[in-house]
Amino acid sequence: MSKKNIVLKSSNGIIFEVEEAVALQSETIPYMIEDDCANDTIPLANVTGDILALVIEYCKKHVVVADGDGGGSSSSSQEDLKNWDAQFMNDLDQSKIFNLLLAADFLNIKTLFDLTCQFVADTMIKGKSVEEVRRTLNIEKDYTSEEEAKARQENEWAFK
Amino acid sequence: MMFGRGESKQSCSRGLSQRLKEDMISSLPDPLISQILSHLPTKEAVCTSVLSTRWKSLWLWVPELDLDFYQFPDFNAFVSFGHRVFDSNRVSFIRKVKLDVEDGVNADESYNLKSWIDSAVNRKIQHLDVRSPEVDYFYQMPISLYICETLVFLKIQWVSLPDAELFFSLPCLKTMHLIKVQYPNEAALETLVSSCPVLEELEISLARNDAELLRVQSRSLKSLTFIRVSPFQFQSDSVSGVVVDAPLLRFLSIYDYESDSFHVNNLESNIAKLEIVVNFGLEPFDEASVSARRRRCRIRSFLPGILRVRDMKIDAGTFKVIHEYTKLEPRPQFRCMSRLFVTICVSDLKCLPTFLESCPNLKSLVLAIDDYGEMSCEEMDQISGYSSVPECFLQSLEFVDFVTPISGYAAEMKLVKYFLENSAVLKTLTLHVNHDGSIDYEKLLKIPRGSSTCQVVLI
Repeated sequence: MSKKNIVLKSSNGIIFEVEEAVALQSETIPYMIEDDCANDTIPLANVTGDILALVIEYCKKHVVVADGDGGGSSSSSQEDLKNWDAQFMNDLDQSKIFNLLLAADFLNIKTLFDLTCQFVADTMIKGKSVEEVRRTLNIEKDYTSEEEAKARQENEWAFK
Repeated sequence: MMFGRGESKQSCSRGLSQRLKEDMISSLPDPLISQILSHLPTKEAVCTSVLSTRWKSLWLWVPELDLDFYQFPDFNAFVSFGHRVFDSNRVSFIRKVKLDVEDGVNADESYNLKSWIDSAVNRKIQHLDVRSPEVDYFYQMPISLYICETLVFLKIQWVSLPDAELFFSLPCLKTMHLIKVQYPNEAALETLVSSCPVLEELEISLARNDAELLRVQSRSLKSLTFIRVSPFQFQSDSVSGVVVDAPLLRFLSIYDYESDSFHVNNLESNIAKLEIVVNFGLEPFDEASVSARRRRCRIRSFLPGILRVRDMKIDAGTFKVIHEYTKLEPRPQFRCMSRLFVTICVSDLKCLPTFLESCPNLKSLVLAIDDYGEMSCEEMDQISGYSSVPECFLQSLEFVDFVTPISGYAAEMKLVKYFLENSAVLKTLTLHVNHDGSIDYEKLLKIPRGSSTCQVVLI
C-alpha cells in the first residue's frame, strides 16, 4: 500500500512533508485539502515553523500507536505514550506551550489540545496561591486593593 | 488568531526574554482560557477571578462544574453560587456537572436542584454525576433528564426519579450508574434501560425490595454490574431475581445475596468476564438446602448462560453452592475459562480439585482463602490430603497465585505441595507470605515439582 504524503507550509514559509495519516489527526486539514487542490501545498497562516515542527512530532508519535491493533501490549504502549507526552510538554518553555495550544486549537487536534490545557492547569495554576499564579504566568495585578478585596468577597467560599 | 509573538521577541536572546516575560495566557481568547480552567477543580477556577480584571468573569464560562456542598461555609453560599452558575443567561454550553448535595434538611423552595439540572440539560450536558448522602430524603430529578439528547454519562446516587408517561429518549447515553435510586414504579427502571439505544455500561444498585423481578434488556449493553443489598439483616423471604437479555454483554458482575434466581437469556452469549457473589436464595449453603429440586433448578437454569466465560471471579459462598450442586447434577464444563479467581473457606479447600474438574483449560488460578481466623491450627492440620488431579493440571495450568498470605500451617503446605507436585506445565507459583508466620522455606523449596520449568515466587 503506497503512502500518500501531504505538504504543509508554515506562516514563515517552512515546508514540511508528512504522511497523510500523520496530518489527518488534525480535523482542520481535511477541509483545507478539499478546499485547495489536493496535490498543492497547504498553507498554515497561523502556525510558525518551530510550532508546526512540534505539532508534527506529536502527531507522528501518536499515529504509530493508533496504527497498532489493540493487542495485548496496548496498555503498556498507552503508558509509554503518556510518559512521552509528559516529557514532550516538560521540554517546552511557556511561549512554546501557549503557541502550541493555539495551534492545536486552530488545527483541531483534540488530544494535543487537551494535553496542553491539562499541562497548563496542572503545572501553572493548580495548588498555587493567587500570588504564585500571577508570578508563574506573568499576570500583572491591575486591581486596586479595594477591587481585589471585593472580588474575593464575591466568592469568599472558594478562598477558604 | 495568533497573538502577539512580535519580531522583537523572536530576536531576543533567551536571557533577555526570561527577564521580560510577557503575560501570554491573558491574551488567549476567552474560550481557550475557559478550556484551561475546566481542567481545574471548580473551586480553584473560581479563585482565578482575582488574578486581574481580565480574569474577573472568565471562570463563569467554564463548561465543567464540580460543586460539593461540603466545601461551602453554609447552605446560603452553596445555593447562591449554584443559582449563579446555572443562571440561564450565563453560558450556552455546560458539558459536565458533578454535584454533591447536602442531606436535604434545608431543602425548600429557594433551593431547587431540579432547576439546576434542567438548566444543564438545556445547555447540552454530556456528563452528569449527582450524589446525595445516604439519608431518608431523596431529591427528585427533573423530567427533562429522560429526554436529554446529549447525555453520554449519567451517575445518580440516592435521588428519586419522577413519574413520567412521556416518551423517554436518551439517544447518546453510553454509561449509566443508578445507585440506590428511588423509582416511581416497578416498570420505570426497565423502561429507562430500554430507552438507551447505545448504552454500553450499566450499574444498578438496588435496595432489597425495589424491584421484584428485574429484566435488563438491551441490544447494545457490554458491561452490567448488578448489586442488591438488604437494608435489613436476617430477612427470610427471598426476592425474585434478575433476567439479563443482552446479546453483546461481555462483562457481568452480580453481587446479590437476596435474589433467588438469575437468568442470562441469550445462550449464544459471549460473556468473557464474570464476577458473581450469589447464593440463589439458599442459606445456609448446605447439602440439604441445595438438594431441594426446586432450588437446584434455579442454579441449573443460570449455568448455561455463563458456560463460555473466559475469566471468572467467585466468592466463598458461590463456590460452595456450585460445589454442592455438582454433587447432585451433571458437572458444568467451563471449556473457555482460562482464568479463575476464587475465594474459598478453609473447610472447603478439599473440594477445590473437584471444582477444577469443571475448568479443563484453566491457565491461571488466583486463590484467596477466607476465615483462617475461625480455625485452630489443629483443625487446619487435620484437613485431609488431595487425591484426584484435575485435567487442567496436566495440560493448561501455568500460573497459580495464593493471594492470602500464608503462615506455614500444615494445611497450607499441603496445598502448595499439591500444586507443585501435580501441575505438569506450571510456570509460576506465587505465594504471598505472612512474615510473622513460621514457614520452613528450605522444606518449601525442596518440594518436588511436576513441571521442570516451575518457579516459586515469594512476595
